[in-house]
Amino acid sequence: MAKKKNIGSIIFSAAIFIVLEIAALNMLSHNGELQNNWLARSSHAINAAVWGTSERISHYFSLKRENEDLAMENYHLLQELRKYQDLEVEMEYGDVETIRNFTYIHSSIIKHSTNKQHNYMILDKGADDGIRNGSGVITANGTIGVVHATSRHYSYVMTFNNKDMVISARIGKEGAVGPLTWDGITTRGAMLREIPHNTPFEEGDTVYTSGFSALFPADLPLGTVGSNRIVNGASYEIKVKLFEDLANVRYVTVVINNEMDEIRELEEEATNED
Amino acid sequence: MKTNVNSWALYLLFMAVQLVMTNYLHLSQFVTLSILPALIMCLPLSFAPWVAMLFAFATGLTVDFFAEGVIGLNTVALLPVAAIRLPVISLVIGSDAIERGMDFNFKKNGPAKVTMVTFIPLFVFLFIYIAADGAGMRPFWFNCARFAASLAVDLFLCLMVVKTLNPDDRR
Repeated sequence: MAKKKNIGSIIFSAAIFIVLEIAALNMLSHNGELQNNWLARSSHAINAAVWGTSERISHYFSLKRENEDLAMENYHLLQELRKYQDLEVEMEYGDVETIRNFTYIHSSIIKHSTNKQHNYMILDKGADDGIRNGSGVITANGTIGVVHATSRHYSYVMTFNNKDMVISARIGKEGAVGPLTWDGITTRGAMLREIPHNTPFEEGDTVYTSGFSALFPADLPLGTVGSNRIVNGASYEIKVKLFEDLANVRYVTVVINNEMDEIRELEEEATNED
Repeated sequence: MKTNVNSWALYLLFMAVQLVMTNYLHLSQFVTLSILPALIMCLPLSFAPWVAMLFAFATGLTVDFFAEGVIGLNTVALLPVAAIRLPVISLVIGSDAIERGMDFNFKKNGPAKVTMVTFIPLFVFLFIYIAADGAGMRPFWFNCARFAASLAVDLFLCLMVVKTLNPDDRR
């Protein structure tokens, strides 16, 4: 009872203090020009701090939705860009069908490993969404991997950070082609091999997908050329720094070659004949 | 402070002294003379915090009204002194004194404790007063110098007020 009375008296005293202090501040601001400006500046600064903090907190909790919105917008913009690039090639080569043979499906990563020698990721889209085994997975900054297995709603992707993964890559848009593999050390490190020793290139040149594999469209930027060495006196082994850091990827695009079945049938037929 | 007529007369007298100091005694632009915190701290300990705040409001407003300067300046700075009055006394001297309603003085509590009980509210008062008076227009070093000089001079004055309002108990 005494404790309740004590708390009550503290609250009452605090209320009286606030009322009297506000009255005093009011008198001060009305009777002094300098103090009026000072109080106005101080209240603006306090308001800015309070509302700014609450805005930052609510912005933080809306970041996930904003991120998803931005990824979707990015995907649509890239689709538009690809259409214009296709038009550009069509005007040059006059052949649309051989270029426009990829379907793109936007997806997000729900599970991802980066610390093993055989890394993988799981996507939130599966067979019901049109994804097929053997489809490529890319972002605006490069290739991510290949779909290894699908269920109805999910896909298992073998990422580029995998010792068994090889991508056909080219130095520049018309340079020599070689296999690009993960260096096994960092998430952005790769090695481009079997580049003929007479191939001209410089450090900083961009490496692209060659388009020789049915998995990925041609001319996707992958990374930049770093240091190099000659292997067996015949070819270059070149370090490549990838544009995309696989450890930070959240959203990807699955690329489905619409003529993959025909290409596979042709390969099987050729193999059987041998 | 005792609740007899003599003590209240002394209280009003010291308020008049404060008015005279504010209007006519300008030692330096770095020194602000004020004994108001001591007046509030010497109010009877039986007074509840809200009563002390009302006294602080009335005292500060009276000094502001009759003295040169901005109305509300002393009031704004004096109210927090009234708010922290009992907690400071409880912290330095002990809650026994408040429960028994016994005033503090030099003989009973010692000069160190009385000085501390006077110093803390004076610190708070001068901090708020100088900040509000400067209104962000004075440089930081000026405010610091004014604060330090005022604190030193006013502490001496306030201790004299405490000695007068809370005299040592007669044997």
